[in-house]
Amino acid sequence: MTNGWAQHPHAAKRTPPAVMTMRSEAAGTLTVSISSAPDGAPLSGTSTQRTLNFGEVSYAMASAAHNVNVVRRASGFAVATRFGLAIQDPSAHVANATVLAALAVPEVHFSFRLDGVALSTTPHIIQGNAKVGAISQHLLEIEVPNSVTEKNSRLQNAILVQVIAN
Amino acid sequence: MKKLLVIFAAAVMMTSLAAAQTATGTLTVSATVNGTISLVFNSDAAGVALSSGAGTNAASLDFGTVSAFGTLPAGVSRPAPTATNFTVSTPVDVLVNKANTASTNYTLTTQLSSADAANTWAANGAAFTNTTAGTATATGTYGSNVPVTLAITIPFTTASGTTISNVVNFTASAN
Repeated sequence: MTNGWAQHPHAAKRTPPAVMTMRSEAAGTLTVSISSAPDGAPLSGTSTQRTLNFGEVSYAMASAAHNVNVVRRASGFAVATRFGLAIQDPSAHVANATVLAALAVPEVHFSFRLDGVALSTTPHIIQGNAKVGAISQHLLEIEVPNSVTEKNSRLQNAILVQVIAN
Repeated sequence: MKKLLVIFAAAVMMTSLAAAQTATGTLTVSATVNGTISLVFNSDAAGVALSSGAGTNAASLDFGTVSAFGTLPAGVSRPAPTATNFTVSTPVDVLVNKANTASTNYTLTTQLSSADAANTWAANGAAFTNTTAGTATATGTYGSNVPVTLAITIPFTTASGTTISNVVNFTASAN
């Protein structure tokens, strides 16, 4: 007996049933694609690696410029826009999925929220039961506090979206 | 030994299955934040109340009926007239706020929108015309009402009943 493994020399040979079950489920393969929303800022790049460039933003910028909404507060302002997320399963084995999102790098000056959920480098659930095969719209908000000045005026980060079959 | 190999293969397959049931996408986000300042007018407690536009950047101020020696409306001040003219003045509050800038103060200048050949205009003692701006303050404080005394010097030759009207453009520049 080594490391808990033991086998009688005359035991019947068989394949563990769990292996068979997993093999059948392995046929499902999810894909996720990010797209511009009709009322959102335009995205560039490929469907799985999109880029959203807000350009120059400011407290005084016009609201709804390029489909970017501005919410002004005493502590700063927020820019917000929508984008689409499509989850597909070509094999049609998965009906619903959980959508998680995280920031690629820690954010010191700006605050990201996706559908109201604060983002960090730890994945957070954005949608617990997303329908596979449909496009869902999501609201991205970025808080810019008044304390951000010329020295730290550049915002650069990435949102990592992960979809897991339910 | 053979059984051990089979179970190991199952473990590998499990990892492969988990990868197949997830998908990832990346949205790169970028922006550049520009600093901004804003300016609004407010009525000063010691001056003539703004007749409209308080709290905005387009307000109206009516001195009312003024004269060299007669009674003045509340909030209007008048130093002793000279031999040829008299001056009326009133304070107006200017509130400049900043966002996303390291600027510590601002310069406030004033300039007439159109020429006034008869009267002389000044803000905090600094004369200005439609061609030359005057500096009301070079170190304005952000976030608080800063009184700016707006004065008009009117010659005695001005006919009674004459209406004086012009637009004063206030410009705040971050220092």
